Amino acid sequence: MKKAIVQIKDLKKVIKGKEIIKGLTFDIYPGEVFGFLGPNGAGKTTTIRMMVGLTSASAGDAIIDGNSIQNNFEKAVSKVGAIVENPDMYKFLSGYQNLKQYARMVSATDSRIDEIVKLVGLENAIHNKVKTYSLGMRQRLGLAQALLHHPSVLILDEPTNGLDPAGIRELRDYLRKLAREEDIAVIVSSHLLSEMELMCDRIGIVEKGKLVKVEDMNEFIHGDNQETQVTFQVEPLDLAERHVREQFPNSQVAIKDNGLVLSINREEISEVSSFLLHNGVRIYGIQSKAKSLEDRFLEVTSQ
Amino acid sequence: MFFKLIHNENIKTSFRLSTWIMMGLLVVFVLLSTFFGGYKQPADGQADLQKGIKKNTAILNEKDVDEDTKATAQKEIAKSEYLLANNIKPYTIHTYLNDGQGMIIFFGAFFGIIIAANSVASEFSTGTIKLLLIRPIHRLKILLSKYVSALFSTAFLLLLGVLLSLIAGGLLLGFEGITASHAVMQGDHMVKETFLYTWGKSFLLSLILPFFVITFTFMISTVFRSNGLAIGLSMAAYFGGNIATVFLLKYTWVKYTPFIHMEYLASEESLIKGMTTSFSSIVLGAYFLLFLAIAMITFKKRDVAI
Ligand SMILES: Nc1ncnc2c1ncn2[C@@H]1O[C@H](COP(=O)(O)OP(=O)(O)OP(=O)(O)O)[C@@H](O)[C@H]1O
Ligand SMILES: [Mg+2]
Repeated sequence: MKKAIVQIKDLKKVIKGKEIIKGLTFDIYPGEVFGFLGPNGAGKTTTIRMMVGLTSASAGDAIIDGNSIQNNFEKAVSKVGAIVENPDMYKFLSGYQNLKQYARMVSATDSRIDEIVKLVGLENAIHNKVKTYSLGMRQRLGLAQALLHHPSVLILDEPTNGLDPAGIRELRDYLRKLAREEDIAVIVSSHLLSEMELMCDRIGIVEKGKLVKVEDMNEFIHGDNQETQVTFQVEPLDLAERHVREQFPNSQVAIKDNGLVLSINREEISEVSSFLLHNGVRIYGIQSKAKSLEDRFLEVTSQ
Repeated sequence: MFFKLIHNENIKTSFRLSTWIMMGLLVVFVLLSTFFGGYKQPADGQADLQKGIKKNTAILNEKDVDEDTKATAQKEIAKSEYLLANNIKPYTIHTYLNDGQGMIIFFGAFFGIIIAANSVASEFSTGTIKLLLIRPIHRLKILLSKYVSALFSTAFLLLLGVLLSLIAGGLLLGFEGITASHAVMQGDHMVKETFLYTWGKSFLLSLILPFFVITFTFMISTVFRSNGLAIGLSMAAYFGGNIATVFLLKYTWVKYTPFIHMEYLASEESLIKGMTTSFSSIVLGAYFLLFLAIAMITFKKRDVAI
């Protein structure tokens, strides 16, 4: 196993007496794309802000390549390239002039700027003022500034925001390539699981400031207990629901489109059917549907 | 590295529209006041002096003229006689440059206030502060580079105003007057002094107020992250500081307020007794350090959540 390049240790943030981040702990390794996933307001951006030193942590720390972001900021952050929330740049300057600004601060050469500009596909617009850029172009410029100084950790807060499908795909391929070929640790936040699916090796799910789950993407999708959603067309519906709730108190039961919807695994389907028949419920149809990724996500984040 | 940071700030300033508007206004005002100010170098200055003496003597001999007017006339006569006796030629460019000094300084102050107000606040309002602060550079270095750059830009504008005045004035009224001698009051008698020296000294001393106010602006901009508030408060301080001081004269602690000292250093005139240059410098220095310290501490500690 490689040594972790980013170590988040019991990170907490209290704002105005309210605990917004409630103690996150996770490691990120070189060469992986880590998806930081959570619904709106979960605390992704707040965590990222602490990781890059924009805000102080109320407790805990983020260690980047052995340096604490709190106590050894300059050293720690010199390994990081980031976009936090929107890639806000100087609108009255051109894209190139913006990159020059950052290049002066990290001593990047002009040829590196040219290289990066080509890489993010902005050659044609780089000398136009940023105020003329579309959101997607600004994301690309944001990516360019994050990569200028050859970081070992790339942190991107909702980078697909504003990208068209082709752009998302390009970004995905590019991030995977960076991780694979340059051994960069890439951290990508998003509230859209579907986007993360093809991009990430691992995902960490945050919900209300807590880390709910850290899992390999594969495991997450093909989850351990292969529960499926099974819809029973039954009559009388209310009787069936009552019996099922009593008999299977641990299962999720819902009524949808005049059908009884249960989250159960394969084996339980016949069990439930015979139970229903025994209790005087007539069955007219059974449909089972594999759980989608979004369902899994919603399930994890709504506990 | 620090110079690169200052360079970055200078670039941002030079790309702001307000910078060019201020520079344009300065140029227009200097040129207008030069060529439409009615300045004219007299053909024979000595003869004009003689005429002036005659006129003022006449005033002294009149009956129904009050004492003040007579005192002024007396002074004029003394000065003219001193000039004639020492063979000092009067130059209109002296009047012209003295008239223009206040305007150049006002532009410098206004320009500096706008730059200082924007330099921190606008990074926050546009969100660009985030990408600025995630570089491997200490926050205080970034803040100081902004402060130094604001002062540098102000100095640049002042220099522009001064050079433009000297050149335009020189072209209209002749250049030789700039380095010629003139008479100044020292205590109760006249002495000869190079005009450029007198003018330069008074120019620099008059810069204490703008320098002070710009530093104040910078602090407000950093603490409240609002350029409007910073400009408003600073303008109020710039124009109202001396007036406010007048209302505080009855208190003993007025000697710890800043404006009375700036007035004293610039003009050697004071509304209270017992002022010294060193005490004034210490009080102003303390304010200056306080402003910078407040700006630095808040900037260092601030959570950037935009
Ligand atoms: N400065 C602040 N003051 C008070 N509350 C804040 C502040 N910043 C963030 N919060 C709260 O912290 C929580 C987490 O916010 P954060 O921006 O980190 O969420 P997020 O996961 O990035 O969400 P999104 O997907 O919408 O970007 C939210 O409930 C928000 O209201
Ligand atoms: Mg966010």
